[in-house]
Amino acid sequence: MGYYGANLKNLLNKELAYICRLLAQGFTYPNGENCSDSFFSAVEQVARALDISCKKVSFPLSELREAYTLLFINEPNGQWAPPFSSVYLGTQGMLMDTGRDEAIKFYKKAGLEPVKTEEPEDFLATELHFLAELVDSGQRELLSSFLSAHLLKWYPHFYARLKALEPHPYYLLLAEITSKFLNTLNQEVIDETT
Amino acid sequence: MKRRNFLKLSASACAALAALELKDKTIFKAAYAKTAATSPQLPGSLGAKEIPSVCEMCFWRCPIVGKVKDKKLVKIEGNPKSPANGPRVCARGNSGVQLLYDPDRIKYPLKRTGERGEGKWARISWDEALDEVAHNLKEVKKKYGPHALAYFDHGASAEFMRDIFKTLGSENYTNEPAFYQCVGPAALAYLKTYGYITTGTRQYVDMQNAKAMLLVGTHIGENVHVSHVREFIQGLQNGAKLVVVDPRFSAAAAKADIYLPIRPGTDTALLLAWMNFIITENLYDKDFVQKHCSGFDELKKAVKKYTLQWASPICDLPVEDMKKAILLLAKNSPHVSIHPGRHSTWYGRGDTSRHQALAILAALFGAVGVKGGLYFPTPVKKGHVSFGCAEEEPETPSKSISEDYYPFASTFGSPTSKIIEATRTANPYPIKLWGINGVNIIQTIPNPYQTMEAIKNLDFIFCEEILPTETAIWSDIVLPGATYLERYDSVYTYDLLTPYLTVRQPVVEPMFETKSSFWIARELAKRIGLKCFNYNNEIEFIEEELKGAGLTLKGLNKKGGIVAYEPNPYRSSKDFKVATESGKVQLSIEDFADEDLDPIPRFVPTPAPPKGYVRLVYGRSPVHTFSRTMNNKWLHNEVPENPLWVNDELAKQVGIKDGDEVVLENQDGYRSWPIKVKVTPGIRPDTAYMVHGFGSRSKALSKAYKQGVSDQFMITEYEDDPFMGASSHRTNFIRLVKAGKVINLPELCPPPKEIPRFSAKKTKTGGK
Repeated sequence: MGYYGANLKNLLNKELAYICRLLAQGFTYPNGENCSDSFFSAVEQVARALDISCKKVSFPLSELREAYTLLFINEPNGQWAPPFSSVYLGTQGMLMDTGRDEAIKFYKKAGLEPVKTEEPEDFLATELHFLAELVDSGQRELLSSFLSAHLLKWYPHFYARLKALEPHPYYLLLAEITSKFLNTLNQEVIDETT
Repeated sequence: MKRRNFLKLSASACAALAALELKDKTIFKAAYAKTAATSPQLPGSLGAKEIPSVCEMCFWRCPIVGKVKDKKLVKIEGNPKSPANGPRVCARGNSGVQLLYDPDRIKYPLKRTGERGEGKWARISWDEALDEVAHNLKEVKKKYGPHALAYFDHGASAEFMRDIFKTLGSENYTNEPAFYQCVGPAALAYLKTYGYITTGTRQYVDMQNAKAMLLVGTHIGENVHVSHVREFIQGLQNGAKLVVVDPRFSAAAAKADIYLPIRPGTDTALLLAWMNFIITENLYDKDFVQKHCSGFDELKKAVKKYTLQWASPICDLPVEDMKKAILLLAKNSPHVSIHPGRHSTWYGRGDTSRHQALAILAALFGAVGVKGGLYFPTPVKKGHVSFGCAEEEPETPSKSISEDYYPFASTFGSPTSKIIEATRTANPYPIKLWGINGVNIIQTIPNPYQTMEAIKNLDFIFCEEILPTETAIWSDIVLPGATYLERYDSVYTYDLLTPYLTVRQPVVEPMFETKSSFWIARELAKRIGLKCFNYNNEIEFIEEELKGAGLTLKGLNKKGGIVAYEPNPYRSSKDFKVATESGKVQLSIEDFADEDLDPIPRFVPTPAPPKGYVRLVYGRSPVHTFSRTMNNKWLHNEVPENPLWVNDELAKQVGIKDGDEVVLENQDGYRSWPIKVKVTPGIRPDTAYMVHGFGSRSKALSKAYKQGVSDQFMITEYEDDPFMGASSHRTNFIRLVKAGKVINLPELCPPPKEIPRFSAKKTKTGGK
C-alpha cells in the first residue's frame, strides 16, 4: 500500500488539478479570463504535453462565443453536443436524469456541493472541476470510481458527437485534450492500483 | 502507461498554469454531509416534497402537485384537493417533466449572428439582451410612431409584457392567436347573445347534468381538458343522449346516439333549419323565450325559409336523420347541452354566425341557467392588482387596422392577419417591430409564407420562448422564458361548476438563465423608462391578490395550495338576467345590425373544393397541445406524427392504401413533406383530416423536426371573419402526390348548386 500511496502522491499533484481546472474553464462560456493569451498558451502547452499537435491557439472572444453557443447551448439545426452527462447516460435523453443523480452522489461522497451555477450539476465543466477537487484532496478511490463509473461512461459519447459535428477547431482541440487526459489519467490510476 | 510518459509538463507550462490562478476558480464548497449519500433513498416519487401549482401544458390550467427530490422534479400529479381534476392529470400534464428538462430548451438570452431566419446565435447577457430590446422599442416608436410596434401573445404570463406595448401607445398591444386563430368568433357570438364569454378559455356547459348533448365539430376526448372530459363522460354515464355533427367519425362520434356526417361548411344551414323546425313545430321553450329573450319575432321570420328539406342536399344529410336528432334534443330540453364549441375560425365568413346559431338554439330550448344547459360563471373573489401601467386604452390611429376593418375586432385586440398585412405593405401604416410571447406564430397563423415575408420587413423582432421554435429561429433576440414549473404567475380562479382559487408557483428553481415573464417585463419596462410594475416580484402582487380573498400565500399552501367554493351556476326564472344591453338573451343582435352585419345568422356558403381536390380539416390529439408539445419526448413517443385520414372509397378509386406515403399539394401549389395515409370509412370523401401542430420546420427541435406534416403550411388561402377579423383555417384544399405523380381526387359527394366552387388560382407545379 505504501508503494502505491507513494506513487499516488506523485500522481495527484497540483499540475493535474490545474489541468482539470483549465479544461473546466475551457468548457465554460467564453469570457475575458478563459479567452486570453495566457489561457490559450496554457492550453497549447497542455496539448503538447499530451502529444497532441496544435497550431498557435488564438481566437477572438466573439468568434468563440458564437461557436460555444452553437456547440453547447442552442444550434438552429440541432447540430450540437449537449455537455451534460444526463443526456448520454439516461434512457430519456433529457437533462437532470440519472447522469445528474450519479454526479451528485459522487459529490456527496466527497463531502462537496457545487455552488449555485446556472447549469445542472452534471455539466461537463462542473464535473471537471470536481475532478480537480479529487486530485487536490488525494481521494484516489473516489477519483478512480468517478472516472470509470461516471465521467468516462459518457464523455466518449459526447466527444464522438462533437467530433462528428466538425466543430470549431478550438473546441475540437479542447475536447481532444480532455479525452486524452481523462483516458490517460484513468489508465494511470488503474496502473497504480494493480 | 507510466506517469513520466503521461505528463511532460515543462517548467514553463507549470508556470503558465499556475499563473492562471485556476485554484481560485473552484466552484465547489463543503456542504453535503458525507452520510447523506449512504442514507436509503426511497424509490420513485416516494418521500418527495410536494409543491402545489398550476399546469400549463395546455390552457385549461389544472391544479397540480410537483413532486421534488434533491431539487429535481420527479413527478407531476393532479392536486388531490382540486374539486375539478382531483389527483388526475392528462398525458400532457404528466409530461411537464420533459418540457422542464428538454435539452433543446432556450437556456440563455441569444442574439442573432447570422441572417434572419437562419437561427445562428451567440449567447449574450441579460443586460445586453434587455438593453437591445428596449433600445429598439424606443427607436421604432420614435421613427414610425407607437403603432409600428406589434405584440403577439398567448397565455396569462404573456400579459405582463403586453402592458409594455399598451403603455408605449400601440393599438397592436394584443393580437392573440388564441382569439384570431381560435375562439374569437365563438366568444363574440356568445358575448353578444348572453352578455358573457360562454366559450373562451372555458366552456360553461353543464354536460354532466345533461339529458342530451349536441357537439358540432367539437371532438371532446381527442381534445382533452381534464375536468371538461370528465363532465362529458359523467353525462354519458348518467344516460345522456348524444348528437354529434362532424364530417369525421371522431372519438365523440363513436359515443353518439345520432351521428351526422355533415358536408363541411354547412353547419349553419343545419342549425338554421333546426331553429325553424322547432319554432314551426312549437318545440321551443315559449316561456323562456317570452320572458328572457329579445328578437324572437325577427328570428322566426329570418329562419322561415330554412327547412330541413332545403338543408338536406346542402348538408348532405337525410331529412329523417336531421329530424331525429333535433327531436331527440327537443325531447330532453331544457336539460340539453348545446356545446358552444371553442376553436371556431373555420371558414372566415359565417364563423361568428355559426356560433350565434348555436347560442340561439340553446336559448330556444331554454337551456340556459338550468341543469344540463349553459350556465353562469361563479366569480371567485381575489384582490385587484394594478401594475401602474397605462390604464387608458392607447389612442387609435387615424386609420385603425383593428376597428376600421372589423367592427368587433378591438374587443380582442388587432387581427393577426391585418398586422401581417400592414407589416408587408405598410398600409395603412408601417409596422416595424414585433414582440412575440408564448406563441409560435409560424405554426399558428395561416399562410406562414406570408408571415416569414413580413418578418423580413421588420426593423426588429424579439421573442420570449421556452423552446427553439420557428419563431425563435426568426428572432433577432430570444429571451429564455422559464416554464410554468419554474415561475410564479398570478392567482388563478376557476369559475365553473367546481369553483376554486389556486396559484401558480415554482416547483423548482429556473434552469440555466431562464427568467419569469414578470421579471422580464419589469426589467424591460425599467430600461424603456416606463413607470410600470410597481411590485418588486411576483410574491408581492400575489399576496395582494390573495388578501382580497382573505388569504396569504403561506396560508394557501397550508391548505394544499387550493381553496374550493360553492358554485352558483343556475338561475330560477325569477332571478334570470343577463348582462347584455337589453338585459335579455339577444336572439337578434342590434350591435351587428348597426355595423351592417347580419343581426341574425344566415347561411353563407363556403366554397366547395375545386375539382380534383378535397377540403383539408384538422383537429386535436389527446396527447398534444397546438404545436407546443411535439418536441416533448414522452408525448412524441405516444403520438410522433399525424397521418392523413382519407376516405376508404376515395382511396380505393385512386389506388391509395393504408400506410402509403404521399405528399400533399394544396390549391396554390404548395407541397407538404411526406405523410402517411390512414384509409378509413370515418371521414367523408370530400374531406381529408390531420391533427394540427406537427411537421416542425425548426431543426433545433430534435424530436419534432420533420415529424409529420404541418397543416399550417398547407393553409395559404384564408379569409377573415367579417365581424372580428379572425382568419379561416378550413378554406384550403389538397390533392395527393404519390411517387412524384399528382393524383386528382374524384368527387364522390358533388356539392349542390347553392354552394359555389372554389376557383383555384393558377396552380403552380413543382411545389414549394
